[in-house]
Amino acid sequence: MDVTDNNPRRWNWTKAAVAACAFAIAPAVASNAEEVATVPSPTLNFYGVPGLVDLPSGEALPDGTLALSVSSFGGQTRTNATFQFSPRISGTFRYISIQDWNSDGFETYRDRSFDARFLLTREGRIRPAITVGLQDLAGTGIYASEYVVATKNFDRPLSLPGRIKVTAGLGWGRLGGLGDIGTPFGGTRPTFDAGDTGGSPSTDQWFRGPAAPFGGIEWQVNDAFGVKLEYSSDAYNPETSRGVFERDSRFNFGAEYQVSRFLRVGGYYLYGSEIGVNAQLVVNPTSPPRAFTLAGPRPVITRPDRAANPEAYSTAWAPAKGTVTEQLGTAIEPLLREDGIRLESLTLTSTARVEARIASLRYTNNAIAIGRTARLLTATMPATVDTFDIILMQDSLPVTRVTLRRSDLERLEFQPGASDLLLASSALDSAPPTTDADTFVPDGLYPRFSWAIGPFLRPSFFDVEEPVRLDAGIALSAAYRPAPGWLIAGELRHRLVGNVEDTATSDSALPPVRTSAPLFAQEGDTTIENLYVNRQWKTGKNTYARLTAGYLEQMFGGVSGEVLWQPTESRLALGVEANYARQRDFDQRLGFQDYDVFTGHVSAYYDFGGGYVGQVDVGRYLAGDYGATFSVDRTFKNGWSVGGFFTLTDVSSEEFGEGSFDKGIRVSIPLQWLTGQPSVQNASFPIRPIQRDGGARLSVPNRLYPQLRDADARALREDWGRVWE
Amino acid sequence: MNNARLAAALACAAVLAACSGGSDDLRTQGGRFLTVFDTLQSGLFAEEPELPTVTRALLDGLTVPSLEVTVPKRDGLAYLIPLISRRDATLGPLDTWTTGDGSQLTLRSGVIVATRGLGDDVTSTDRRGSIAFVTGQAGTNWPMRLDIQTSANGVERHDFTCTGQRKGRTTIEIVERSYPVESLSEICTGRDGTRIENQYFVDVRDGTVWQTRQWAGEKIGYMATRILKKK
Repeated sequence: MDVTDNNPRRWNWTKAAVAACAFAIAPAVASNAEEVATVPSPTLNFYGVPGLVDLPSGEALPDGTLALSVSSFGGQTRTNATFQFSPRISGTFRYISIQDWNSDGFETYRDRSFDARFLLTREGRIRPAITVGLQDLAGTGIYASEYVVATKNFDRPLSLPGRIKVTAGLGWGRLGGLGDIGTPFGGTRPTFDAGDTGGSPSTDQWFRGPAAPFGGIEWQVNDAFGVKLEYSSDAYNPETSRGVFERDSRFNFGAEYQVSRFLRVGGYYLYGSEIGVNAQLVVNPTSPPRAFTLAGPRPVITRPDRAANPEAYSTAWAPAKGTVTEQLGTAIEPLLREDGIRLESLTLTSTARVEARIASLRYTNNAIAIGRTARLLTATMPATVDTFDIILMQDSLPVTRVTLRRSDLERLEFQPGASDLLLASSALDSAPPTTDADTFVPDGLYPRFSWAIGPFLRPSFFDVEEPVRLDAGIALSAAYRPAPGWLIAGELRHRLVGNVEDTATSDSALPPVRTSAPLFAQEGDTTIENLYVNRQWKTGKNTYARLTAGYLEQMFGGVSGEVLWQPTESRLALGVEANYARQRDFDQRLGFQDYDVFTGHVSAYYDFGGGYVGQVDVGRYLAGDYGATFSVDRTFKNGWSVGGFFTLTDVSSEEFGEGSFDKGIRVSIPLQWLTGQPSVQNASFPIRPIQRDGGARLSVPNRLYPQLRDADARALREDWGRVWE
Repeated sequence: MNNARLAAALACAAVLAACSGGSDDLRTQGGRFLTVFDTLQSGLFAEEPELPTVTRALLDGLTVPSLEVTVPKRDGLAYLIPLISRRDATLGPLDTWTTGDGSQLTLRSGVIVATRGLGDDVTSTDRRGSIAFVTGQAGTNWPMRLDIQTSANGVERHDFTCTGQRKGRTTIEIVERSYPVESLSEICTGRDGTRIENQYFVDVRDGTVWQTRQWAGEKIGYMATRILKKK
């Protein structure tokens, strides 16, 4: 590969630079025209998974990819979200609507479905990529089918430009509907039942019944254009029998255009009768829309040579240590604040050692805060101070202590492998809970008051009539921190517009702890979203505690207590949480209703490495049911997190109602990923196919584990690559 | 749908009216909207100062040295001033230059040894061979290592093997002033087959590296440096 300049990209990297005498400098005009990806990931089909038009292919998306797509043909609209959870495993969540259904009590049929795909073999020089897939894997779903499919890429075939992908597969269920070759694994499968509550994996019907071959070709003419042709084995019986559309052919074809790095659109002709469209938004957390940029750090200041300047190393200041600490603390506190770091205390533990307790206000990556604090200490500490203990604080909780040698900072910055070298010569351990008496604490650290007025959105998903309902309005939130570990916080909301209140209410065999959401929406315009007192502290070297009382969430108030054991280097953390909760009045002001419950969980958190964290919570839920919640999240180093969860309790599927048990997915996107500018804020949202009363957990603000995880030693090591930044 | 539209319009109005106070970012929806809003506002609506026309008269009026840096792949152009210079061991001074907004470049004998604040930065390097080549002490080939920041908070190591070509004397002009220089070319091949070519123009009289073009990783591409005003 020759690397040349003939691929200009317009990123805004420079801003003004000011030399003396107003000799100022600016960037060339920057725009952010997106570059079309040179190696496109597999394109998606109408089900939102790698594939042709309506059929799947054998490829997997690049690891970590999140693909959102909307497709429509013949009155059938599918909204799909696929996440490539690991290099081989992907999951898809889908919401569909089929117009002109006119049966089973629905004019328009709406449903939700889950797919899972597993890449059996990666593509090799001769070997194709082979994937086995389970489509609509729970219940007798409308799209239920299983397949094994292979895809092979051919670059510049027959001297044509671009590349051709050839796909062939064998499908069961829906994909075994036409041209079957028999029933390889025997059995029969039940026909689709529109009234089934669904929700549970229907293992007994997977790969049963007739199997039929399918296949197709995709030609990616260049980076932007592609055409697709396929031969479908899908009979579309449920749809054609109800007159949704006419199916006249087994051939589908279409053309696609890559609009930008993220967006691809296509137009198609399907089943000899219908025009279709598909829009695919494919995002990979590992390639942000804007490179993360951060103004360069302060320089490391090296001390004068000791032999040549012995007087610089005088310890004559030692008797006045208290005053010196005060002066140094006062000097560095505003400089750290400029860098987005809050100094919580400074202590000269001896003439050779300093301890700085800091909190990162701007950088999700705490290694940046460590590095920048250390740089400032090289510029300000007396020359005899050779050891820096920098303690990462997370909302008053001291989490991890990083011990750095000043001489290493001076020596290593421009050495090859500088980050690894610094990590190797530094120590990371659990932070001691308290510090000694001779400590500088900045004025104004406590009490602190913060507030914000801004918009709020409260979505409600997958009502039978509307896929998304939304309330929106203005929120006033405030937080008051009177002393270390104490927080008094609340949020007042005023709804301006919304339709969540129109959500159909449903009967529940359980206390209506969550299905009463429409009643909360109906009665509350100006509401107290939450209002609570929180106290958290470090009880020992590896243990933390929290007490919270007040209006904890929209629907419940009460008291919550939690203890967490989390050694900073440990993969495993254990917690216990106990709560007394009482249902709030529907108007969400100060009153309570009669329903109350003791709820709580024992939780285990395990960091598997590579960003995968598993969590099991065993205990009692809001409706008084007992059970356990299992979840796995994958957190990328840039802060993206995608995960799934499900809860099994002693409530039967019948009592639970639609969906059989509680489950869902959750996504958290760091705002700095979107903007390229440092920020500790995240946008996170759980999505449940349906929220019922079984397996519902109290929503408590400030749970301990999520607060601590980013600041533990394991997270710091993973993020250490930015320590010099 | 009308409701949704109205909601969107009101949400927009609320963003425009949004405000906050205090030293802590609130982890509420309102707080997050404000973060995005502030970033967009500073990024999209910030006024970019005009580039001055650089003339020798303007440079003569400067009281500090100046380095011009261009990054063609990003359409970037900046003028840098010295931030700090330090010495260690024997390889000559490490000169860190900076823009007004904190983009930094650290050079050793004109050779790029680190960048900061550009995004996808060169975290650290082993460029002892390149420095020896530019200062006239090199052997026939030498290793080069670039440690490049990744978007996943990591550092990616790139190793190259380099050879040099001395292309003879020539004259270059930098803002109305001519310098007699030797043209040097450093050709490096990476383990993955990446082939890059760095160029240096070194004053034949005192060894000043006036002008260079050096590769700083796939994301940044080539950076061109010119000393407009020497120390």
